[in-house]
Amino acid sequence: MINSNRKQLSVVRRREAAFSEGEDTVQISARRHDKTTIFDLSGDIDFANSPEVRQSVLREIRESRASRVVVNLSQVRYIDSSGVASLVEGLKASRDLGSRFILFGLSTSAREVLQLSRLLKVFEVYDTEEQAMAS
Amino acid sequence: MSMIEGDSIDTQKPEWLSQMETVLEVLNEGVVITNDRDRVLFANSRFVEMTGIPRQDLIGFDSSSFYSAQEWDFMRRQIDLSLQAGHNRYTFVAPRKDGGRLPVIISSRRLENSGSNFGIVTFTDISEQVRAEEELRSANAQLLKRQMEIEEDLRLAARVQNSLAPRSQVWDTMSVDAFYHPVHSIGGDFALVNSPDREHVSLLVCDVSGHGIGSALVANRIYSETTTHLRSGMPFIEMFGALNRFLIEDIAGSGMYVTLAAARIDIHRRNMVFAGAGHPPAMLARRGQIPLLLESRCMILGALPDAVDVTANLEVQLQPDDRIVLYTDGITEVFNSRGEMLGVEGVREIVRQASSLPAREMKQGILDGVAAWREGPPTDDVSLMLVHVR
Repeated sequence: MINSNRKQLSVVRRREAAFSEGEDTVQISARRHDKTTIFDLSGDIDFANSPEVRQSVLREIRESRASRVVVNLSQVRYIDSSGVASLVEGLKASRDLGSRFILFGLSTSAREVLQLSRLLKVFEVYDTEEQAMAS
Repeated sequence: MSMIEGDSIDTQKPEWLSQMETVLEVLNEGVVITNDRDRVLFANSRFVEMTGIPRQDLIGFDSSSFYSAQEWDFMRRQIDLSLQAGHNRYTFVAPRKDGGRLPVIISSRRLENSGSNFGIVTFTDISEQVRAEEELRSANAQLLKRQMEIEEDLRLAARVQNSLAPRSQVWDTMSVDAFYHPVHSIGGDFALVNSPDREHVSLLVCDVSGHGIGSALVANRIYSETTTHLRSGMPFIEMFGALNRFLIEDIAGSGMYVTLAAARIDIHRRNMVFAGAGHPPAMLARRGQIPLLLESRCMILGALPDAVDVTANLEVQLQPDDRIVLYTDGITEVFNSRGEMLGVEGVREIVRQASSLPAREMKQGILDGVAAWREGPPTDDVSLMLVHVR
């Protein structure tokens, strides 16, 4: 991990899911490194918390105006269609500002959801942070 | 109020009270001292201010003279409790000179001094609190009324949306069985069956991202748009393009996207054209075989202008006893107790197993298989449409 300023953006409310192991929340924090903003997301991103994810990511993209936005999904087990919609919003906001929008660390289920929505080819996707940062 | 006669010794202030008066006068609470016959020996200025009753109309009077008989019954019981326990605290009212009542908390304590019993009674004005509680009750009542109106609206909306759910239909060479379950009273899924003539049947399953009112409204708009397009026989690629433009241009910024799977079947020729946009693959099941996946070639609609792939159409020649399964992600994105997602391959296996069942039992077989995997109730809208080619 790169040492840089870390900003806790939000801790989103408990999600309404049938399955739950421990704290079933999503946490979002952002690191800035040179002209890159890295979002670290953890938890499940679904209908219950995707609006907060969307707001936090869009606000940070517009404020930081980084030339590269990298989303760390390695601690995200599941993204539903609402979560995918939030990532699309992030992608569009980044494109509007001339930034790249990169994902890395997709779980099997997150990759399947993006694959089914035919968006995997739209995002730049890497396995690791090192690969994403080297791109 | 009437003065109850008593000798002057009864209302004489004890020495300890004379010493305490200065302290009692500066308290923010009303304070009354009574003797063992419930006659008022002392009332501080705050009590006089609270009640509006001049001190000369208080001192020497029996406490009961300030209350109605019914009120005094209650007070009497509280005084008895205070006598038994040595103290008491309760919510009641203080009398006002104009006959009104001031809501108060009464704290009473018994004191024995030089062989005599005294009651030390404090009155805390809670009229602001009571007013606030009444306002809160009123606001809650209004909120409850509004909530009931909204729930009634939602019930009506749910009935309207349920009316869009396709019913089972049977043709000479084909039948369609459908299932729809919104996770909230209304949701963003819908399915439709459209038969513009006796030779063709169009099927469509659609999922608007999210649940609830916003998704349901978008779903209804998409339902209208797609029904019109399907009736006109518009090719799927054109229809997807029109829907994508509609979503981007007409409801831009909503953050809502749409996935759908559509099929048009020539009943007599048993030929099917299929196309999907960002939707989980439909499945063509043949008894005992691994189902064939009919994948979406277009991306989700409403996100990007170039969502539609011109090669989106898949043509399939159907055979008797073929079953076609169309569904939304409420079927695939379900988790077991270990947090494992069923996914497309899991559903594919469930469909393979269910394809051995008679056609009329297959839909329930699929739903049962999904429910067996899922821990807890559904968390997403579920739509399932099963076509049986006879």
